[in-house]
Amino acid sequence: MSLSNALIDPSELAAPEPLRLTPVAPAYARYRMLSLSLRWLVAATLIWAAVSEVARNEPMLALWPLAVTALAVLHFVCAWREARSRAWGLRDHDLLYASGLIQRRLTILPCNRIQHVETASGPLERKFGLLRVTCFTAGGLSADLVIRGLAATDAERVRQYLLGRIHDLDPEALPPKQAEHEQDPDPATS
Amino acid sequence: MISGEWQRLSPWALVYLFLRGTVGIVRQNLPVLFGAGAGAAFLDAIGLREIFMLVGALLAISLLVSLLQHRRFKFRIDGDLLLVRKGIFEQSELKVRSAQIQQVLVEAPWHLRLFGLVRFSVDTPGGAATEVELPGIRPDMASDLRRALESTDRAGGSGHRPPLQAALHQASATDLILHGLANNYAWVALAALMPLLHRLSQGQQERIAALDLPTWFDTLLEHPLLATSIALAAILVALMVASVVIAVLRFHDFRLERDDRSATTPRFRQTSGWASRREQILNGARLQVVEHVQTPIGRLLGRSHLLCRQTGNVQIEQDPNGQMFLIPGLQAGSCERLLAALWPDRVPAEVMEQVHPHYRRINFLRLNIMAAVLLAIAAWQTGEPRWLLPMLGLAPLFALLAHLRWLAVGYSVREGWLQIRFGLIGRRTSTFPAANVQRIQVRQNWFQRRRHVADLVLTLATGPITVPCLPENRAWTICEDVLERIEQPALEADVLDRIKQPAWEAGA
Repeated sequence: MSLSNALIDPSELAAPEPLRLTPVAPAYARYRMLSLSLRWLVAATLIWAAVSEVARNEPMLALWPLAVTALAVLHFVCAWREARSRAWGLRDHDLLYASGLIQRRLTILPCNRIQHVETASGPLERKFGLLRVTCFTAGGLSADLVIRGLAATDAERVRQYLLGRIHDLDPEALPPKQAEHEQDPDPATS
Repeated sequence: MISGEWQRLSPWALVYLFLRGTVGIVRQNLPVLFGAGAGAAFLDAIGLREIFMLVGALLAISLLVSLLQHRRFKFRIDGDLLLVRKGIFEQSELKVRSAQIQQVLVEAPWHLRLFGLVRFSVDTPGGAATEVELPGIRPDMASDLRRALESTDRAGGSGHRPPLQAALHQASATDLILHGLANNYAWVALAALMPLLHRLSQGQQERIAALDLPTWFDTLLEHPLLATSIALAAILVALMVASVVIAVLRFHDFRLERDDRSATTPRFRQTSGWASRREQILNGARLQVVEHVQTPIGRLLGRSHLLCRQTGNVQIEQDPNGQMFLIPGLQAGSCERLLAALWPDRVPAEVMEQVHPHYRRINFLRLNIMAAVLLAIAAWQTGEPRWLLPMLGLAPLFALLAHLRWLAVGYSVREGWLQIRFGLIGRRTSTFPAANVQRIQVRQNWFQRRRHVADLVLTLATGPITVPCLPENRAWTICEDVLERIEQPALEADVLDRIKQPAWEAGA
């Protein structure tokens, strides 16, 4: 019997399977635009109140509306693209959430680390049919995960699934029937 | 006996509660009194008799509150629960399971020792502050309470109690002096006092000038450089002495021992303190991260310390209340020995891996950009372009710094144990089991995506730890490895469920 030990071309090796995440609801980008508009409106009003008087004597400062508009447009473009790039995924044992535009972040939260789950929404989010899902862990604020931009139905389904997982993983949450079943050495006799 | 009936605080604890309450009132109202001068103006306006009446009323209120607090404060052990009832207007009952307790602290500060009392407190995961505090109970009752909480966690209840093991670590006087010198306890106290010192120093120059001072002082004032040097040296010496004194007071007669009397979880007991004697008990199962801290001066003196962090011990540099489990005055080699004792199943790192050399380049660029911006501002403000010349000399220095910083960062992943090292001058090495990680994040900025490197952020119950600039594939491998360790119990439970499942159901 001859031993075959041929060289393998690295380019022919199977590429690792990419994570297939689900994009957040399309309404999230529109929600971000509206919430940003409100913030910029407040910021522009404050800047106008602070600068308008001084700008009369300083010709360079008279260009402030142009500078504010340019900054706002840049912020809107980045926020729109960032909102469109957000995605989430649910695997057998963990929850994934990708966010960020310039700095991409993929956060992985194992299901057995989740202590409880909460859904919340502000008035604007409700207008767009969105819900935030917050997963709390023992690590406090730095270890919690907030998934923004989920459609209300998706968010409720995720919450229910995660609550079910927490219940399954909690040894103290076993239903009495299952506990009895565990004590029975021979299930066939029961 | 602690179990069964409700217990009360010692009658002497009333004095302690009264004093603590009064000090609390004074501390809260002192800024109002002296802050803007309004309080002083008010006191001037009302006269001496009214002031005494006001003070008397406040003391009477404080006494009444302390009496009610003392009367309503009850505690007892019920099975594996520690129950505490307290509250004046709103009664609350707190229940803490013994299995949830991660640290027990028994303190005997001098003001409680006067009355022959100790303070007993318990920490549980998730609580930023101390969860349960029994302010003023007798030492024998504290021992009974501690034993009762331990016995619920012990197989065989009140059966055979093996003795404590020999000391794992004892800090000598030299260790404590060097620990005090290496750590900046006095700097922290000085930083807290700076606003007060600044206020006191205002307007003192004229007063000093008006005083009849010796001639050598006048000579010093004529030579500001010499005077400043002497003043700085004096402050430095005073701070060092203060640091040493604080360290000796806090860790006098330090002894760490392992307590194997609990069948389920190992416990570690440390006793220390001179004026305030304290006994701290750490539940080994609740230990999240152990940090080996080498301060810059500590590295010179050959001393370091270990910080045992549990859930809720967020990563703060200082521990003003002494809640953290700190092992001081370690010499070379002691760290590994203690880590092996704290985590017997730990697999030590053989070699620390380096992060991607791209980290060095990022550091070099950051330093150059920062210096260039600062020098450009200086050149713009002064109108002299020669301010930009130092950049030529700084670039090689920054290259060396970036290289040393890159060398200082190291990590090791071995059989489910992680070790991450940071710090160019002072050094901090965190050791933890992968199964303790709560959340993982892989971060890549635009620059890193082009170079196929990524930052890995491992968030524990004590806070996040970042491994910067790992090769992308390595980051994902570690991520998968850590996830596997975290999810292992869940996977095992799934397999067990399948094994327990009847054959006909499994087939279906």
